[in-house]
Amino acid sequence: MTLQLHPLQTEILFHLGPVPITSEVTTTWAIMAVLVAISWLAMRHAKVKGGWLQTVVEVAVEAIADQVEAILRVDPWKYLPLLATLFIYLVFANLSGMLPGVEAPTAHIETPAALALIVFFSVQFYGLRSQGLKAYAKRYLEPNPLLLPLNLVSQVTRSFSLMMRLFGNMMSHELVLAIILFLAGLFVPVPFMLLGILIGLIQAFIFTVLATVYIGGAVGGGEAG
Amino acid sequence: MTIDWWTLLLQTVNFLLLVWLLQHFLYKPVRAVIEKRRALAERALTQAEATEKQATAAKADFEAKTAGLDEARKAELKQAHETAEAEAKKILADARQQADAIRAEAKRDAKESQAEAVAGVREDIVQTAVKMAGTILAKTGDGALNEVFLARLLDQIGNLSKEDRARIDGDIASGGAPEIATAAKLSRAEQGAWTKSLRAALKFTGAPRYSVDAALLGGAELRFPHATIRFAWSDQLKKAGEILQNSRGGAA
Repeated sequence: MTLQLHPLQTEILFHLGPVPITSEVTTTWAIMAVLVAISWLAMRHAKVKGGWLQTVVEVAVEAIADQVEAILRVDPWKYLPLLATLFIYLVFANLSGMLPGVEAPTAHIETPAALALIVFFSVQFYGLRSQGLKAYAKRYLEPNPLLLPLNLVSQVTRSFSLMMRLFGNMMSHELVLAIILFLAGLFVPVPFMLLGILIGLIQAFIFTVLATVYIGGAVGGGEAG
Repeated sequence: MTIDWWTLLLQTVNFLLLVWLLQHFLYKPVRAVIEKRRALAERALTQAEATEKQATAAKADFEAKTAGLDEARKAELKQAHETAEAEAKKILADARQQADAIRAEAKRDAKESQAEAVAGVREDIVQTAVKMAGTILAKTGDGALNEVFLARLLDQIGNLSKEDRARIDGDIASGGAPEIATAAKLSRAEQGAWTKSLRAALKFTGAPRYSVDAALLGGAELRFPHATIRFAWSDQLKKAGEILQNSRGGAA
């Protein structure tokens, strides 16, 4: 396990031309490979009555779809690629920090920032697509045009808070683990690592639910405002 | 804190790429399987509904047929009942008719038997009465009655039709005196008186022959070869018996 005593710094593993490839990028690639491999293995011969892996995958996807539908009150499959991928990736990314020598990509600011940016633009995209430019733009003038700046700021700040919440929790957890390990020895951090599993799952859930709520607000109600 | 913009960009691209990959390898197949399963479920549901409809229709058809059968059975039962009732009535009527006929025949036979018995009894009574009267008359014969008998004979001679008188006159002319039969034997004086009176009435000259015929009971009979003049109680009794019998028979 590589001890990161400066968690805000990104470890560059190698360069692809001018592009530095950091550990969080490679970890993400690994996670992507694992997810694609599992998906392919589970669904390559998808049948109505599938095997255990297909069943597990289907149950997981359907559970996420049900959760999204419960929030959005619309057909979830239109939004599922983004939101389900967000949740699955976050679960894997958050829990990857439990593996020896692996840093959770979400413990560095770039990954939560990238996800928050994607959520921010997705909210605008889905809002524009569902309501049209005029109706969607009008929402920023409600309840009073004077509140336009505040509405714009709130759009940015909620995405910023999304990013910071995830980054802060994951980074602090890794930092605490590193400190305890450094101070107390090999087996003392185990309870904190178990707590880290819970934190990772909760953060994935919170990030996804908030993203869903934001999209839902843009698409229909405004309850996300 | 510094942000590595390259990493930010790479992570954004990585995530979007992951979205695309999972859309291709996970969500689409999962959705396809779910849709397939839903289609199968819907098809099964549709088939179940169709089967249920068929079953309901079959049940309704069966119930209708059962009701029809029941009605037909009731109708047949009713018809059979009516037929049996009519048959029973007919049999009863026939039996009554036969009974009436038998009763009428029996009544008629009884009446006939009764009439025959009554007639037999009556005949016996009449015969007995006639016999009794004949016996009484035969025992009561005397000279006075013989005179009455003679007088009745003379009356009859006087009342003869021309044809009867001519036939008797012819017999007298060819044969002489007639035969005189009486129920009781006449004395000589009576025979003389009778001969005298009859000669005067019939104009014959010879001596008549006198005979006794108990069957006459009373009275006399003048017998010629081709004619007879007769006054007898037996005839009177016979007539009286016939009259009596006829009158009783009519009354019966």
